[in-house]
Amino acid sequence: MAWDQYSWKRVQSDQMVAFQRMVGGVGMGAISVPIWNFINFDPRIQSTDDSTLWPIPGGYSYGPDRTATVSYFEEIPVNQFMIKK
Amino acid sequence: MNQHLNLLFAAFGNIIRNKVRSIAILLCLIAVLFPFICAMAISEGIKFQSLISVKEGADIYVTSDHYGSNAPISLHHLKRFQEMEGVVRVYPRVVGRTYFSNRLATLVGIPPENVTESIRLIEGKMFQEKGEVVIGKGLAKEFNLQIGVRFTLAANPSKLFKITGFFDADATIWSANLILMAFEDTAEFFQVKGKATDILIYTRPGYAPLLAKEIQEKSLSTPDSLEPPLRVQDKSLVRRYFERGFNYKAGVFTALYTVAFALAIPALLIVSGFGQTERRKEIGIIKATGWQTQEVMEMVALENLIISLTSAPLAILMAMAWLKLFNGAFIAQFFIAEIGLMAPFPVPSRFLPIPCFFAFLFAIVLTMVGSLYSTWKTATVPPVEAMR
Repeated sequence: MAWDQYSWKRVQSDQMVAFQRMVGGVGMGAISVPIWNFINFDPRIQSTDDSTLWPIPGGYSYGPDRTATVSYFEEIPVNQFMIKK
Repeated sequence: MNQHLNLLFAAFGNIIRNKVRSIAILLCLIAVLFPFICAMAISEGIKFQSLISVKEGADIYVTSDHYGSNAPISLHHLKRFQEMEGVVRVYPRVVGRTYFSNRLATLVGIPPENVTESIRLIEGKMFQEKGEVVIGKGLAKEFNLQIGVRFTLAANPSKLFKITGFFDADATIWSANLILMAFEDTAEFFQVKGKATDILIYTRPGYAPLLAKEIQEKSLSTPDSLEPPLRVQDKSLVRRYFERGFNYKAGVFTALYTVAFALAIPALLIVSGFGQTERRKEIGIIKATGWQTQEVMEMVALENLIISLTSAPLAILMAMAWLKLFNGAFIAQFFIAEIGLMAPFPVPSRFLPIPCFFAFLFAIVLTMVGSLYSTWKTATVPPVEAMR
């Protein structure tokens, strides 16, 4: 476990940092390509889950990246409801 | 102290004497713990890579908001953002998707000045001229691509690309199927001129929330404008995505726990039922020779402790070997979507002490729950009845 920790520390200042710095941060979730939607690949690129709009609008998301990964991104609700008297 | 040591030796003796029973329990516990440890290790590995993506990313991401979804943003906003106080750097970026033959790829377009010397490629060099691209190791390996190969993609066959280099497979899981090129090339390829998927803003420390608020308010304060409103995401929001995205809500964990508990049932049955007649006789005999109920209970608890202390590290070692040496073959696809039986990149796995401690805890709880009650029940009846 100590060796594992050491190897990850070494990696931190290596390729991952240089790559992410160059592209401005690409990729956040446990999927290597945005196969069904972008939200699970990187919610910065598309924060809404558009896979629920198809094939059945408003239905269940058939994207395997919604269940079969170790990450799960949801749209963060923002209060946009304002009552005006 | 001597009494406890003697009980410990007796527990060891019991485990060795009942080989079949002990091995069956060990195997069951390893089967329960192995997927759990693998999932935790992969989760931590991806989390680590994701955190780097968040940390090294921009302070603010600005896109257009079309009907509630992110949409391309016009490049004319660049100048306005550059002139804002506290802004260090602004640049546009394109992140899109397309098929490379039958394999889905992520296309990223960045300004050429973003390319740094520190980027290590396994082969070739970074793009310099128009049409030049750098390709991820996964795509290169799958299609046996070489440096200098020219290709077009079905989404826009008129756009010709030339491969100049391949990314190091160790970069991140997201670079395996990635095609990196100059911003202008992605604009030409997707045939969307004057727009970017997002504009990235880097600010001086402490400025990001204020600038994000200012950009958002300014975009909403002109309702008569022909431009759609802007959507602003600052680092704090991105961090919230990250924190929520990697909590234990992930579906696979639910599935894993279900599997774990399903597998734990036979383990419990074995601990509490398999060899029960023999165990009852043993308890009856030792009770008849003067053992107290609490001593019997302590011996059984120590047996469980030894088994848990053996099974948890064994499961950790197996998970480590499988993920590090065999790159998580066959099992990584359950935790990282759409990678197939063999991942085209090194599967990130990180073994932290806390998940490993949880694995041990899981093992001890399972064995204790399965054995303590039945032992107590046997130990409290008269020895003659227990031996019958």
